[in-house]
Amino acid sequence: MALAWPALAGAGEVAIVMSEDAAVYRTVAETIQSRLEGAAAVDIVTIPALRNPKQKDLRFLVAIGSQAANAAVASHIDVPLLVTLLPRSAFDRLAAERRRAADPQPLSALYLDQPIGRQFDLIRLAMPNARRIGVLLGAESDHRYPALQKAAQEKQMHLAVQRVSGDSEIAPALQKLLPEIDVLLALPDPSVFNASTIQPILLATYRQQLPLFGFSAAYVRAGAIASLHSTPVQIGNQAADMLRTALAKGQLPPPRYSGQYTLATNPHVAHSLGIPLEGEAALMQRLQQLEER
Amino acid sequence: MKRNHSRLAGLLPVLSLALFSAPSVAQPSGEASERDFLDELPVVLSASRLVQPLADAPGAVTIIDRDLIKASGAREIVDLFRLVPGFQVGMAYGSAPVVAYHGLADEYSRHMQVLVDGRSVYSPYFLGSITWNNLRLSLDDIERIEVLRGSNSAAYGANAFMGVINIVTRHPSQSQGAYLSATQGNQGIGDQVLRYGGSHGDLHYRITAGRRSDNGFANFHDSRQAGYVAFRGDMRLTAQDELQLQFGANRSSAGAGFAGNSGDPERTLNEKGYFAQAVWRRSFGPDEELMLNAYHMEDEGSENYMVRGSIRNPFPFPPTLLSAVVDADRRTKRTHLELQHIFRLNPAARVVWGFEQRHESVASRLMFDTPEPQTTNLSRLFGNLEWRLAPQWLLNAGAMLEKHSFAGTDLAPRLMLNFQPSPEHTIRAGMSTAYRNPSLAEERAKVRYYITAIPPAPFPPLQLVQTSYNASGGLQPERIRTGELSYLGEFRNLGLTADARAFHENVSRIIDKTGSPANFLNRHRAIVRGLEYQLRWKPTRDTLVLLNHTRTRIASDDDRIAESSPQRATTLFLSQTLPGGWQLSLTHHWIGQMRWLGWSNPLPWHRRMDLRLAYPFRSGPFKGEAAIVTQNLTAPYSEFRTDYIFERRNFATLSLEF
Repeated sequence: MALAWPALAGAGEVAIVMSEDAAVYRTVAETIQSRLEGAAAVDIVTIPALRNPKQKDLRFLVAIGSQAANAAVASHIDVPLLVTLLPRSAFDRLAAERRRAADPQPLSALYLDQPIGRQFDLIRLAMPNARRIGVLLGAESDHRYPALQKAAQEKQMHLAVQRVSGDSEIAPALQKLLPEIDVLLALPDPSVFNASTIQPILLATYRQQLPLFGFSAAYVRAGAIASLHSTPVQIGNQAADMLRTALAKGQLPPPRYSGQYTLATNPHVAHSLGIPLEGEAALMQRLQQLEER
Repeated sequence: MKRNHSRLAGLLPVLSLALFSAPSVAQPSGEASERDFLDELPVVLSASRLVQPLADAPGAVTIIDRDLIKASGAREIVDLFRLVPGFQVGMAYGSAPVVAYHGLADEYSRHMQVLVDGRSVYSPYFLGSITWNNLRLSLDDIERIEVLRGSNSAAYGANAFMGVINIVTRHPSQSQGAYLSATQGNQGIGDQVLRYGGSHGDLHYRITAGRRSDNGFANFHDSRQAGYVAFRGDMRLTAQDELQLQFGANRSSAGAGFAGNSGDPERTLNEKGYFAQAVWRRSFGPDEELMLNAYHMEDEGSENYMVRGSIRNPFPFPPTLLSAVVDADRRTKRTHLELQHIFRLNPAARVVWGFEQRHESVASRLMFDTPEPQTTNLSRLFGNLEWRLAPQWLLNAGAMLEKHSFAGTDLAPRLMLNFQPSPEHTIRAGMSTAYRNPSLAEERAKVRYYITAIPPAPFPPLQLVQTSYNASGGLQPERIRTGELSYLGEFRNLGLTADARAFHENVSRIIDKTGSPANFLNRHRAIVRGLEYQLRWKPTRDTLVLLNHTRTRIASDDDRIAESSPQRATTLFLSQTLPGGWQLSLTHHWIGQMRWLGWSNPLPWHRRMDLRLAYPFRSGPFKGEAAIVTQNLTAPYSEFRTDYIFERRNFATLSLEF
């Protein structure tokens, strides 16, 4: 199927670059393409296509995933760039590099992660008595501390933080953190939360009868009590909406979080922890009502 | 990302080899990317790892967690069961601990199933018993102990006759780094534990080595020494598959016999053994799991000694001298294979089912009058349905079909209905039937002493044979029919859990020996009735209070059985964290009069008070604790026999972690 993707030499006003030709990137790209049908011609390509010269009708470039975002910036194709399906920290790094390089190319993003406030709202709705939220911060998440503090203040929660640099510091950090908190919130930082650390982290929280809130469906399968995440289709829809605005106004809207998201819960873990957790649909409805206010 | 590479890993070539061939599920660390959101993660809290809430449990359960283990001041595992309502703990002949629930126990407590990580540690030797001294396990490696009070053969097979003790050890990822602990006390108490936990790719492992020794009771030849080494390695094979390997070995010795008794001379029993276990789990999510559990264990004891006696002859002849060599060496083996499948039938119903195959053998010349190993084969098919009939009603229906090579085939069913009118209150009512299969010795014991008699000259020496046990066989399994009504109150805002169990246990076909030479027969019946409760109150993080009380009445055609449980027993446990981080705990037991069966006699009621004071500290990378424990601050009391006097024991423990 990869052979079917045209090079950047297509005739579209929008070109979508995928980090790789894998199902998840394709879903986002095809969702955007179908949502823009009638509004703009969309080409879907992979990174190597960026080496070709710019097509003359091209108005916006969309990068899906971190690799595509990096490649799109490096390609110096001077049309406004929308990056998506990447976490905010990856975008912030990219934007900072661009500022240093004084690159004038307009840049915006649709983040893959959820705003901190939304996650705090979920915790409050799911566990009305939980007030103390614990986070482990590592190299990739440390810069989120001010945002976490601010959200905690706004939502009247107490934030407890332990900083770790390396796997061996996780266990002692948890030992200090867990007795002080009601829930542990996982943040997308591979130096702290990855496939090999998730086991000791979940076992330690479980032993203290504390729930972990994750940020992907995989976290809920692994044993987190709940997670908020945006699916590839939801990201595609939101990115298409941003592009519609951009096509109409001629410029990209500012970076933002996805307004569409999914809630996944693990009722078995909740039951085992003795936490009376509402059903996904009811909880999601309450969360959306809260967000709309 | 720093990883703990260890030299120990080099000692495990098989594991290392497996590591390199297994695909790694770990992702490279570095900058956050969409992969953090999209990649698969291992299923950590799998169906079998999720602890069932107490309100859903099919019966009364007491959980002993790490905090309680520590605060209790327990030196060995059996000390912990003193904190479980309805339990009796004693130290029998040769410093062998015995644990019973609702009496009916002698020095070979054989009415309880004990599992360590799903491995039965019930010894098939002699009458069958739990060899608590040879568990190859350090207290600090235990994550929690679930004690299911009451018969549970439907889930755990025969031997889970009166209850089940389920010991779950810590996942190695939870005990990384080094740990040292040393205990020294009076009465020869000297225990050491050394542990190292590390990781290597997706393998987490720990290796623990320990020694324990004490002098036993004053004036008895029952000092004991035990050394053990235990390994547990948990390896993630894929996001769904996990392999756990465990190995353990022990070597121990204990004094036996009595000074000045040539018929039961002082001697030393030397034991050694090992086990190997592999558990493979495939999780399809938090509500479906397939588990394959295989283990093999071998234990041997060497106890070879000479007994002497004499027969008086008419004057003026000197007495005839008698002597016999007792070859009490034994060797037991068990191989076990088990497949278990947990799945959800529908949102309201969950099923656990599986089958087990077990082979056991016991070789003992003393017991069977032959060096040939005696074998038992066991096949089991089990299933339990957990069905939420309505939001407030939960039904647990289970049964085990067991085919035993000489006890025949039995079906042990259990039905328990839990009614939870509000989140705080649960009322359970249920009934079950369970069996205990006769042990090899009860079925086949043939104990013959080959005696050499040396009469006075000029008569020549004679060979005599004295038969002391001659089992006729054909025993039926012991049977227990239980009816119970229990209440669980969980008041989270008060930090209070109340658990009360009213029970009616109808035990029949109780196997006992009789006659000379002794034969084992299904002889007695007993009706055990009573009420027990436990209050657990944790008002703050710093305070824990436990109050247990048991009232038991046993009616039996045998007077000793009727006295085999105290009619009343009360335990109060307090634990408090003091300013400065000091931890103080205090336990007080009041145990009514009772008697153990077998080689015992009635014990008067007694009190016992234990005290523990600990100071946890932290200095740089070191974390540690200094603790002093006094067991039995009050007057000396009798533990198993009136002459086994438990005097005050003091010991101090220093532990370091880094």
